[in-house]
Amino acid sequence: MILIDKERCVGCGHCVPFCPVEALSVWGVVKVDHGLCIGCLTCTEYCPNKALRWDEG
Amino acid sequence: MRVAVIGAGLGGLLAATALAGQGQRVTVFEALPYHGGRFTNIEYRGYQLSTGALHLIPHGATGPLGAMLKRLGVKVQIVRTSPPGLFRFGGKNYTHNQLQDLFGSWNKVRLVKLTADLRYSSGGDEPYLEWVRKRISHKKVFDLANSFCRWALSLDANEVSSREVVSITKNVDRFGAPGVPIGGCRAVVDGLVEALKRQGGTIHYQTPVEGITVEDGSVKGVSTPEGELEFEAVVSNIGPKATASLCEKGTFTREYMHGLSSLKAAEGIKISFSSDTPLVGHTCTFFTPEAERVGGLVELTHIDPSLAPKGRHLLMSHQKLYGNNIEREIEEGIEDLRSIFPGFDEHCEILMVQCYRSHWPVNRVASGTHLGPETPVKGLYNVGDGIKPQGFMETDGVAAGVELMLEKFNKDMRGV
Repeated sequence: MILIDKERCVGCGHCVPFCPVEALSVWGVVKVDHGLCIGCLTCTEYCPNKALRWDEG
Repeated sequence: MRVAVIGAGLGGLLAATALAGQGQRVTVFEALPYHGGRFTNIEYRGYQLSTGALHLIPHGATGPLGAMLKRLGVKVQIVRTSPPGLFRFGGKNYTHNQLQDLFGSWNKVRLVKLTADLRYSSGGDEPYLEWVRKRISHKKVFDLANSFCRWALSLDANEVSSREVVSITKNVDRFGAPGVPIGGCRAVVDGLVEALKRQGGTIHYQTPVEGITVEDGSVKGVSTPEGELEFEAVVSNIGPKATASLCEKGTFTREYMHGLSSLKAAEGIKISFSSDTPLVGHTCTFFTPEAERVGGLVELTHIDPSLAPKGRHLLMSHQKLYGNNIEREIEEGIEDLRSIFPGFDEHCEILMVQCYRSHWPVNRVASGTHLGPETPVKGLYNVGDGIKPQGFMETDGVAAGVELMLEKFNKDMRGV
């Protein structure tokens, strides 16, 4: 699943509009709705701070 | 001359387009898959939110940014807000001229003197709040000073010099009140990219610059995932600290590096929310001096209704970030909005709460610290929100900093 590195995520919201299934929202930091996330990894490319990554676990 | 521009944010795109227009061969390297950085739109549920800056240019079409866009042939309509500002006290809105109604006759006289000093004196090193206190000691005036500084600079009035605020006031008189670019921030950066391409410039997306090569004190090129590339000049839009960190250790003196490490960023929180009814009624800067956190807000849809779905209004509030307890700061901000607008819970929906801090702040260098575009390395320049000349705030500060860079660049060229 997509993991948020809370040290790196500043909550700027850049990733949100690029999620094709609207699984991301921002409230100070990014939140992922894991029920919606399809693991396409698009968000990991759009984060200016490299705060999103995929974890196999 | 081959020029590399690092970062396709507002400063990088302005610099790249201007240099390409002068006949330089410009290549922009952007780490992300899109341009604009903290100055473009986020499409969210039918609303045009923004990555960073509000859809607002401090001095509208007639300030440094507006003038530069016009010169570069960027077609974007920037509509002036009117009235320029409203101030909320005790549930009532006051224009600038009506503010004196809040004070007794002696304080009215002091207020006139303060306004005159803002226009005709030059200020000094002392914090703006102290400078104000010497002229009029009244809580409402301190609240006004803090509200303006938090809104425009993400600083408290005791964190910025009176010289800076006096210079800003003079620029408001000279260049005029804020304006909204129709279509939002993205209209500006898309227009710049179009103009850049017309001039033969190119942008490489998802291509982070991993190093800047310096030989004998002069720029030789950059290293990217595409390989080592030769350039005679590099203009960096990623902030002075990050720029220095791309050069080999020992490129800069300890003194220069120490100077960079002492630079402070300005941090803040933006709350984007919608309303089914107009809350302000005008697209003006709506200052909230009585709020605990929020410095001000704007209701943008009176100028550009396309920023929200039909029948909805888009508002954005801004507050300075205090400390590390982000959750609490957000709660304080929302509490402010509830007390400013009693019908908040009934009419409004919060769309996004964005935070600008750490390595992704509001301003990489806080206003009032004036770092030049030049560096000790020949052919290496900085632009962006770390390089704002005295008296120029936000995106107009970025544009004024780019003008300084161009001046320096052309002077250095003639010297070659």
